[in-house]
Amino acid sequence: MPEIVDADTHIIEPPEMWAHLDESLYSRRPVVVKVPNDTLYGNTNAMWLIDGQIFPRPGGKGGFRIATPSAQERQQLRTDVPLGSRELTDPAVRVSDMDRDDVDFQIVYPTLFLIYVTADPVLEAGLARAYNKFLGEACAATNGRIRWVAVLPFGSIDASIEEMHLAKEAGASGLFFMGMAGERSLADPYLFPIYEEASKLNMPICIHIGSGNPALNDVFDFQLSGVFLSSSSLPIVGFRDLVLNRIPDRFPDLRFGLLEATASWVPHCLYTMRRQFGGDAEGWGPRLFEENRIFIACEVEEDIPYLVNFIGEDHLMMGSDYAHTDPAREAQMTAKMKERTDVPQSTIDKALGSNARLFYGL
Amino acid sequence: MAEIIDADTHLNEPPEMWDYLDESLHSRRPVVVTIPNDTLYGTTNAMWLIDGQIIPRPGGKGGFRLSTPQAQERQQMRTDLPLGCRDLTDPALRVADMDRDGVQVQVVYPTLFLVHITADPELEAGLARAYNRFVGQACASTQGRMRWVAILPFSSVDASI
Repeated sequence: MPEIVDADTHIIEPPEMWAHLDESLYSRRPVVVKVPNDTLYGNTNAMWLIDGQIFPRPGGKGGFRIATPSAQERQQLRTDVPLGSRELTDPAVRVSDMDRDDVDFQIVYPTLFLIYVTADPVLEAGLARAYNKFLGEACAATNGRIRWVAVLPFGSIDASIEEMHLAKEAGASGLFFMGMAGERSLADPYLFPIYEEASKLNMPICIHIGSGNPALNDVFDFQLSGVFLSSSSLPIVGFRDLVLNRIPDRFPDLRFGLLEATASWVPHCLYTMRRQFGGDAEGWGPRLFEENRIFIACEVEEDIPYLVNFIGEDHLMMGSDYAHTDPAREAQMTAKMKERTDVPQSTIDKALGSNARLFYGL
Repeated sequence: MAEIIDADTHLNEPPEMWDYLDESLHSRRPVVVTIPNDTLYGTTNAMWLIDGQIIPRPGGKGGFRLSTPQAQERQQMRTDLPLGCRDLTDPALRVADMDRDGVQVQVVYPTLFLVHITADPELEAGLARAYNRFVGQACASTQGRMRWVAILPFSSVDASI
């Protein structure tokens, strides 16, 4: 059996992370605030206070829920994953979990940065630096078993490029994006210098679900609409923007991945694009993913044989969402995939391992 | 000498005020959050969390400073006025201060409501009602020495009237 790569796991950012914040930003560090558990926020009753805003804001318009800080009662009550593993303050515990789950490599994505945190470029750069330093140190203790994608301060291209070099040097395996970079489309020329540098550094563009656009997030009432459009569907917007604006053609060495958005949206999206822009069905199928070097993370329970008709078996990956508890979490990812008799063995092997190795350059 | 009227004084809203909030809004009541005193906010290190926003937001763009909630260190360290006087949980104490200062009547204005708190009409109406109930009760015990101006929920004219 080839090595297994869990292409999408998470860290729950601990308060210790901000010890890596530049001293000049110490007074602006994220701090935890707590509220009683009988408010609108229920047992999501601890938040980060950053730049005058609370994260998460688990109720009302512009609301969203994330599994950090760990001081939330709902996090304290968890027994699924040990705290030191979730927060990566004890990487060895996490590696033990990987051994138990038959996973050789984990790729770590953030939790706090799944939402747009601040418009201030100085603070944004400082937080990204602290995150990447903390992750670099934690991952370095795992003999390459745990890798991470670097967070970039998109408010400054210069700072982003500097961060990319430092992160690459520290071992980062990709660059964290959401379906939009703040108010910008992923096809915005503003981002081209980052794509150019990512090509040179061989760092893939990792487009994860998340509320990348703050204005869009503010449109929806969390209790009524959840984050379906503002977060879960945003990678689809990114995919369309990249493909229709031929960004992969412009950066022919760059790889793009879409994480935690499932893969079942692909047939729908390809159909609507073909309907709008014409062309033969083959061009809106596996060839598109091959030619544009786009990888899609799918879920264990999806109709993978059907999806392979659209994506091809060389561009599927799998992530367990380890450390989170939302519906994307697949605790027995490897075992459940191996149990699937309706999926060819070659597809299983590629989705669980070699495709992600190629995507992340492992 | 005519009676002296202090036409502009303030109340620093206490947590007890929200006991007057309609029960249906209990889970949305303002709650106090506290943070360390070595952040950007210094000793203004306690805020109200209301409708997903912190108030005051004593730093940065859109920032402002208010002398509520009283859990702020800068409020706790005050010696100019007793706490029960500031937050009107002890109106008799405030009347004693007025006597000392030669003031016959005080008119009370809010502190928290010096900023726009929420765009939600229901919560806005509930907070205004709680404020007016609390202050009405506090002033009623002063034989007319203390008066207040009512808060209105301006996003609903019906509710305001």
